[in-house]
Amino acid sequence: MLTATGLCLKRNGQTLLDDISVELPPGEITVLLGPNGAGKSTLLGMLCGLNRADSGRVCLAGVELSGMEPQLRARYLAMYTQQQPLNFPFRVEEVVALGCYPLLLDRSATAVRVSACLQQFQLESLAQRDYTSLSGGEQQRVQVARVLAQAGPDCQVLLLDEPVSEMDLRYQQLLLQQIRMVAAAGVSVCCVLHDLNLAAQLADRVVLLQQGRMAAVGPVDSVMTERQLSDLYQVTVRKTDTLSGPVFISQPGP
Amino acid sequence: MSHRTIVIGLWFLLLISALFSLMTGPVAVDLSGVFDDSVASQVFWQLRLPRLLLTLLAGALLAITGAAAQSLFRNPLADPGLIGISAGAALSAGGMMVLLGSSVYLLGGLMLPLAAFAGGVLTTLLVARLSVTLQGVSVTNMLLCGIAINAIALAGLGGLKYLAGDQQLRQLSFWLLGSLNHSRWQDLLVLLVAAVPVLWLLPRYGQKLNLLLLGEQQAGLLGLNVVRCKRLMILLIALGVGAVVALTGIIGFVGLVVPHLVRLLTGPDNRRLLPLSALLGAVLLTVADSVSRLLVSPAELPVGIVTALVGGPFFLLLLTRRKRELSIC
Repeated sequence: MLTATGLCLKRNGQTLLDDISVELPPGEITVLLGPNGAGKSTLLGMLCGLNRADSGRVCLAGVELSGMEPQLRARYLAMYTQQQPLNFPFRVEEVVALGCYPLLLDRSATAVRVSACLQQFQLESLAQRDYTSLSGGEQQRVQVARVLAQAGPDCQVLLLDEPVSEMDLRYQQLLLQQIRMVAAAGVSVCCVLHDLNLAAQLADRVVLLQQGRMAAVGPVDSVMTERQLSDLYQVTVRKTDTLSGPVFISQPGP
Repeated sequence: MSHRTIVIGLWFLLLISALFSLMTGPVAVDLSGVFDDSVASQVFWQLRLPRLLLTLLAGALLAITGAAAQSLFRNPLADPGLIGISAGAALSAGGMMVLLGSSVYLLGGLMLPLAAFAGGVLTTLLVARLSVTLQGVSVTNMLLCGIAINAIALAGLGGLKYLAGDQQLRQLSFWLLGSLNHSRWQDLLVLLVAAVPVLWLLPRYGQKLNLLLLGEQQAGLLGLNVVRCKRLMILLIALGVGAVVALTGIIGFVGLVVPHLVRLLTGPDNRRLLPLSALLGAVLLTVADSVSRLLVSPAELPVGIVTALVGGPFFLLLLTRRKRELSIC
């Protein structure tokens, strides 16, 4: 279980995170929602243990993350970040193989794991392609596959910052399915999304973030209401319940 | 082409270019006669052999530090010359040369290498210090600092030329263009002190440099101690470049061109790139040195002129190719 308590962060006189406490229980998928600049990525940056807040702690099973040996932390926690600055012409399978680095696998075990990950994301046909020659959506699939390759048997936490932003509908659904499988194995998942419909499909629990504060926490039905969402995004959000779950439509104007 | 073929091919090229370098020059040296008491034998033992070994090591060091710097900065155009190490080392040694006059040859000729090395390390530390931001070491800041330091150092060297006497001026100019002339056994010893840790350690960091290519945050998430790794890489690069500049002056473009060629052969994986760059760097500098001795024999060109004449156009070619790639995007 990943627990964050009392996270506060100020930069240049601006409050980025204001007393945030959140728990990520094993096997549960938490979706972070909020407008641009609400602090979603900043919060994930704290939860992964690489950056320290001005005050507050992030602990995995009671042990503070930022004090953990980096290689050990990488076995427990994997994260997909929005920026992926790779611009050297690695082959796709080489990129995914880099995800296996903290698992300390030998060459053949790495190859097996890489080909399994490529298969899960239907990337087999791209395996030998130059990463830099791929389209944005394809690159995103490769990087997400690399992060999931890192989520090995010891993995307890998976953090994803807008992992579907450039994917088409088919790969969005494919990724949601993969995330559910990872969570079903007992991993705590926290995912930033902008698509309300995907969020409602994926989330066990939703956290609404507004100007560095937690505006609401809870299950989809109680948090993702027309009023809460309209307030949060400053637009009119209409919610329709259908047989396959709620459907959200946004319209201009508050 | 398989990795094995490339490795064997490069070792073969190294052997051929080394033999060629030993036998060419104003005095013909027949390898069967090197144990006689002849002029040729003296030329071989006192001039050719130390020069060849120095050239091999300098080429290997320039290329491998270039490859490491490019991975560290995640930019295929980054070269140790770019972050000011070469210029800083050159300014320090040039200042020593001009200010001390003939007493610079005290300490068994170690003064210049020590000054250049100290200058290289100091410059690197300064760049590293200035480029630390709130978010950690910023690569952009580091490159910009390097550019500023390059400008300052080159201006300083220009000023030194006005202070220098006739003999010093000649020495200074030759050295600034990069020259392997006057290589002696004791120079080789100095270079070895730097070459052993650099050539031994850098290839062991291939996979970690690969992780850095994903981005510093991504490398950290994959379990790399980014701060420690970057610090060590910077020190090794400064050590290698500083030592080479001390003994040969500024030899440009080897560190830029060689890693590019190797990447075309085997791809960007640093586990292969670093050792193969060292090999190809040794080959290319040896060939360039032979050419520099042959072109205007019995005199010789500074080898830096030869590498710049080949490397410069190659660099421009890279830039035009980059532009085309960008315009396609």
